[in-house]
Amino acid sequence: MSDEQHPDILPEERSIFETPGWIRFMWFFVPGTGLFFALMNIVLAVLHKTHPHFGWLFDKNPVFYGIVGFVSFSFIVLVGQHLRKIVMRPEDYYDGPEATMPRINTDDEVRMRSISLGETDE
Amino acid sequence: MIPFLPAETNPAIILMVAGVLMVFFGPRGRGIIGVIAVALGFLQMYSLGVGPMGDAQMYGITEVAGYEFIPLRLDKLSVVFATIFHIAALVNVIYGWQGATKVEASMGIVYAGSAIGGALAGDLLTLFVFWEIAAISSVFIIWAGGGHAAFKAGMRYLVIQVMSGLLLLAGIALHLVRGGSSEFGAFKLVGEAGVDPVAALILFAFGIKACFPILHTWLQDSYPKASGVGAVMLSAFTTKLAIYALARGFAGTDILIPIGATMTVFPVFFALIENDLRKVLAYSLNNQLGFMVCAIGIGTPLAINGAAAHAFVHITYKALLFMGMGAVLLRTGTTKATDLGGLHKSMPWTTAFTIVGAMSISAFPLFSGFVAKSMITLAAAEEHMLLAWLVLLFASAGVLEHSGIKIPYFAFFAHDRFAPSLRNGAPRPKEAPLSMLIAMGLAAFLCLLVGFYPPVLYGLLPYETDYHAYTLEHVATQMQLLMFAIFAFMLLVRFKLYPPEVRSVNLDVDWFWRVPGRKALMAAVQMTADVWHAIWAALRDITGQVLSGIGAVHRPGGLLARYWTVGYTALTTAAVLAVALLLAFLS
Amino acid sequence: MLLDDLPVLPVILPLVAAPVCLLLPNNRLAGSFATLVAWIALVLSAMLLHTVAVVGPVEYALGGWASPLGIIYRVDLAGAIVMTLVALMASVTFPYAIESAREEIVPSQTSAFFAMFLIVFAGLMGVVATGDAFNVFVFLEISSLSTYTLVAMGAKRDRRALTAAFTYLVLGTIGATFFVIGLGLLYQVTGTLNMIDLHDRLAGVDNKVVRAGYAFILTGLGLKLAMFPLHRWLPAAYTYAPSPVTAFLASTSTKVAIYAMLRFLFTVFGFNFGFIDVAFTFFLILGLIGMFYASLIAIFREDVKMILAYSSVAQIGYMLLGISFATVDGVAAALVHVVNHAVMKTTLFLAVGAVFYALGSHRLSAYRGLGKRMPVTTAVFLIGGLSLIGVPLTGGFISKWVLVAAAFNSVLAVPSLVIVLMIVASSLLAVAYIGRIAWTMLLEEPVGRQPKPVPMMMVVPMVLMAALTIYLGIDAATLVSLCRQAAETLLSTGLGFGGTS
Repeated sequence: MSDEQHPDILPEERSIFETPGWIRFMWFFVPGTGLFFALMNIVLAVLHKTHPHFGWLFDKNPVFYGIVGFVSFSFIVLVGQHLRKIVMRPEDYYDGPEATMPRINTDDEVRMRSISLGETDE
Repeated sequence: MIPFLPAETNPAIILMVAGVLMVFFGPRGRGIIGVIAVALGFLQMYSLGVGPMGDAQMYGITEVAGYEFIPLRLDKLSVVFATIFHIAALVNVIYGWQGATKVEASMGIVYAGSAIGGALAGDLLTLFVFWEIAAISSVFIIWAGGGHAAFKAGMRYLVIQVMSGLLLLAGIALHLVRGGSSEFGAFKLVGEAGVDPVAALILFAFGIKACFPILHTWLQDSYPKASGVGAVMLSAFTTKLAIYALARGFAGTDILIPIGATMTVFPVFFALIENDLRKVLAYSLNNQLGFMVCAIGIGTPLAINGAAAHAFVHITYKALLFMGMGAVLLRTGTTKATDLGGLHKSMPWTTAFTIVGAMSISAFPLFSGFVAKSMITLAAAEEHMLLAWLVLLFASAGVLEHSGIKIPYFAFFAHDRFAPSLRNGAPRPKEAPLSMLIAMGLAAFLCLLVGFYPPVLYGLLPYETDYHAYTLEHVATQMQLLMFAIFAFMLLVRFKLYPPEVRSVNLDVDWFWRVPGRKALMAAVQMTADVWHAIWAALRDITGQVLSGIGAVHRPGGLLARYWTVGYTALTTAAVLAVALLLAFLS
Repeated sequence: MLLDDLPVLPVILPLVAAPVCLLLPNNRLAGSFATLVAWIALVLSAMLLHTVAVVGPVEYALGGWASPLGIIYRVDLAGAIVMTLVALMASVTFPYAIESAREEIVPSQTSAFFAMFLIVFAGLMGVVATGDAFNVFVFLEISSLSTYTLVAMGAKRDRRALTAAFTYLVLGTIGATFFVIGLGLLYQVTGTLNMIDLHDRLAGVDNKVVRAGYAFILTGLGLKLAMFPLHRWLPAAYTYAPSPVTAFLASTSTKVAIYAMLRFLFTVFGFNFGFIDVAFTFFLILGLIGMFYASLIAIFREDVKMILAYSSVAQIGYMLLGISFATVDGVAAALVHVVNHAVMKTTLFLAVGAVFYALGSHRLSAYRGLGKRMPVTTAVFLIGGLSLIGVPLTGGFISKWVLVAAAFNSVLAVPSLVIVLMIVASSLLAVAYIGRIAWTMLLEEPVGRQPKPVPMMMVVPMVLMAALTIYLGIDAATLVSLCRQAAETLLSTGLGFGGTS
C-alpha cells in the first residue's frame, strides 16, 4: 500500500504483515469470517433460536447486523470526511506558532522524555 | 480490617495523604508509596463491607447544624466504581513508575483518591468537596504536559470544571433550602409541576463533567495536551465519577437517552478526521460515555448494570489505549497519525497490548467490551426503543472505525516511517520501558480476564443478574457486524476512498468561545476602557476649566499627572457623596 | 480588677507602649518589645471575647464618668471578635516584622517603625472598643495617620511608596473629614455622641440634617473601607508599603472600618429609619461591581502584591454584599468573611514578604519556579490562594458557603439566584489570577539568582497562618455560630430592643 507520497521501504525491512501473502490472506479471512457468522445467524433464525425485538426490517432479519456494520462504516467514512471542508484549519490556528512547539519538560528529574526519542539510549 | 488504621478511615483519605507524602520522595519512593496506598485503600474499602442496593453500609455519619454528613456509603453501585478507580490508580502508578514527574505522580494519586471519595460519598456536600478536589488536582496533570498550549488548555479546563462544581454547589444549596435530604439519592427531573429547576441545575453540573454534547470540549481540548503518563491518569476518573453521579441521581431520566445517543454519534465523525491519535482517543472516550449515559437514561436494572459494567471495562481498555499512545509518544515524540506508522516492527509488545485494547473497545467476543456493551444494546432493545437501539448499533461501527482500526492501524502499521533506509540509517524507536509494559500487560490481562470469564465482573454489578453474554446469537450477530465493517474498511482503503491523514486542527464547538467569544470579551474590555477614559477625560477638562478659571491652582507640570490621580479620586468621593445624599433625601 | 478593665486594656496597652518602643535602641529590642505587647493584648482580647461570649456585652466608663456624659467603652460579641482578630494579626506580623524590617526599613527608623506599628494597632483596637461616636473618629485618625507613615517607610526599597502614602493621606483625610462632618450634623440634632444615646435620641427624628449626616458618614466610612469606587488609595498603598505593614493593614484596617460601618448602620441608626436602605442598595450594587471590576484588573497585573491588593478590593465586595442582605445571616456571613479573609490575606502577604526578603522583588517574573526553590513559602501561598478561591477545606470556602446560604434566605431586589451565580462567576476570576501565579511558581523554570534563606522568625508566622486557614475550613462551626450570635446582637440593637443593657 504505497503511493507517491510514501516512498517504498527496502524489501528486507518489511515484516510479515506487509507481505503480499498476508494481505491476500486478509482478503479471504475477513469476508470469509463475516459470511461464516452470517450463515450461523441464518441457521439460528431457522431453528428459532434468536430473540428479535423488532420487525423483519430489523433484527428479525438474520443478515441485518452484517448490513448495519457495512453500511454504517462506509457511511461514516464517506460522509464524515466531508466534515473537513467545514472544520479543518491549519495546525497553528488557535495558538499560533506555540501550537506546534515541542513540549517542555517541567521537571528536570525526569529525563526520559527528552532523551528517548528513538535515536539515543537512556 | 487493617489494624493500624482507625476503623472508619476513608480510602480516599489514604490515597490523598499518600499523594501529599509522595512530594518528598524520588521516583522509586513515589512508586512504592503509591502501590502501598492503593492496596491499603482497597483493603480498607472491602473490610468495611458492601451492602446491597437500597441498604448501604454507612460510616462516619456526623450531623452539623441539621446537615447530615455521610462520608462513606458502600453499596453495590458505589463500590463497583470505587473498585475500578483503585485498579486504575494502581495501573497509573506502575505506568508512571519512571516517567511521571513529581507533580504528576502526587497529583495523580490525590486525583484518584478524590474520585474514590466522590464515589463513596453518601451526602451531597461530601460529593461536592471531592468533585472540586478532582478538578483542582487534575489541572496540575494537564499543566505538567508542559508548554504554553497546555497551560492555556489547563486554564480553560479549570474554569469549566470549577464552574461545574459551583453549579453543583448552587444546586445543592437550593435543594437543601427547600428542605431536601442531605443524602445523595435520586433526583426527579420532571415532576408533576414540570421540570424541576434544582434537579436541572444539578444535572447540568453532572453533564459538564460527563461531557454532554456542547459541554464536552474541555476533554478533547485538554487531555491530548497532557504528557503521555498524564493522559492515562486523566482518562479514568473525572468522567466516570460523573457517570456514577448520573447513575445515582438520574437513573431512568428520559432526556438522557437522546443526550447519550447524540454523544455516541457526533464524536465518531470528529474522530475520523482527527490527526492526533490521542485526540482521537479523547473523542472515542466521549462516544463511550454516550453508551453509559444512554443506559442510565433507560434506567432498567439491566441497563444500570450495563452502564456500571461498561464504565468498569471502559476504564481498563481506554487506559490501555492511552498507555499505548503514551509509549509511542515517549519513543517517537509525537502521536500524530501523519508522523507514525510501522511501529509494530520495533514495538511488538506495545502493538499487541494496544490491539487488545482496540479489540476490547470494539467489543469483539472474548474481550471485555463485548460483555458490557451487549448489555446496553439489549436493554435498549428490551425496552423497544428502536431509534436508540439503531443509533447504538451505528455508533458501535463508529467505535470500530476510530478506536478499533484507526488507532492501531495508523500508529503501528500503515506506512512505515521509521525504516532505517528512510531515515539515513537512524535506528527504529525502541520498545516501551519495562514499567510501561507491565502496566499495559496488567490492563490487557484484565480486558481478557473479563472477556473470557464475565462472572468476575457480573458479581460486582449493582443488581442481581442472570445475563449471559456468550450465547450463540450474541456472538454471531456481533461478529457479523464487526467483520463486515472491517471488510468495508478494506474495500475503502483498496479503492482509495479512505480519507488521508492531514496535519490540521479541527474546530469543535469550543471555537465559539475561543475565537468569537474571546474577541467579544476583548472588545468589551477595550470598549469599557475607552468609555471610562472618555468620561474621565471629559471630567478632567471640565474641572480643569473650572479650576483655571478661578486661577487659584498652579502646579508644576511634572507632577500634574500624579496630582490628577488624587484629584480624580477626590472627585469620585464627592460624586459618591452626592449620590448618597440624593438617595437619602429621596428615600 | 483586671477583669473589670478588660475592654480598655488592649487599647491602652499598645498606646502606652508606643513611646517606650521609640526609646528602645535597636531593631531586635524594639521588635521584641512590640511583639510582647501584641501577645499580651491578644491574651487580653481572647479573655474579653470569652467574657463577652459568656456574660454578654461589657461596658467600661473612662475615668468613672458614666454615660452619656463620659466616654464609654462598650464591647459586644462582634467587637470582641474583631478585637481578637486584630490582636492576633498583630501577634503574628510583629515578630515577622523584626527580620523583614531589617531588609525593608532604613535602620535608623526601625524603632519608629515599631512605635508606629503599635499606634496603628492601638488605634484599630480603639475604634472597635469605644462606644463613643467621636472617639471612633479620633482612633480612626490615630491609626490612619500612623499608617501613612508606615506606608511611606516602604520608600527604602521603592520611592513610589512616597506617592502612595501621599495619595492615601489625601484621600484618607477626605474620608475622615466627611465622617466628622456627618458626626457634627448628628451632634447638632441630638447633642450627644454616645452611640446608644444617639440611637435613642435619633428615634423618630427624621429631617434633612439627619439624612445629610447619614450620607456623609456612609461616604466617609465607605472610603476608609475601600468600597468601590472609593478604593483607589488601596492598591498603591498595599503594593509599596513594607511587607509586614501590608500584611497587617490588609487584614485589619479595612475590616475595622467595616466594623465601624456596621456599628453606625445598626447601632446608631437602625432599621426604623427608611433611608437606611440607601446603604444596602449602595453595598449591593457597588459590592457586586467591585467584585468583578477589581478581580478583572487583578488578572492583568504583573505585580503579585498588586494582584493581591486588587483581590482585597474584590473581597470587600463580598463583605458588603453580605451586609446588603440586611439579615442576621447576611451580616453573619460578612463577619465570617472578615475573619477568614483577614487570615488568608495575611497568609498570602506574609508569603509575598518572604519572597521579597529572599529575592528582592514581588513581580510575577520573580516567582518563576519558586516551587522548587522555596517549597514552604510556595505551599503557604497556595493554601492562601486556594482559600481565596474558596476551595473546600479552607476558610474561604466556609465564607462563600455561608454567603450563598444567606443570599438564598433573603429577599432582595435582585433574584438570589442571580447573586449566587455572580458570586460563582467572580470566584472563577479568582481562579484565573491565583492560577496564573500558581502556574508561574510550580511549572515554570527558575531563573536568576538563588534566593536568600528565609529566617525562622518569618517562616513560623506564615506557616501558622496557613494552618489557621485550613483549621478555619475544617472546624467552621465555632466561628460561624460566634458570628451568628454577634450578628444577632448587632441587629437587635438596631431593632430597638435589648440594646441598652
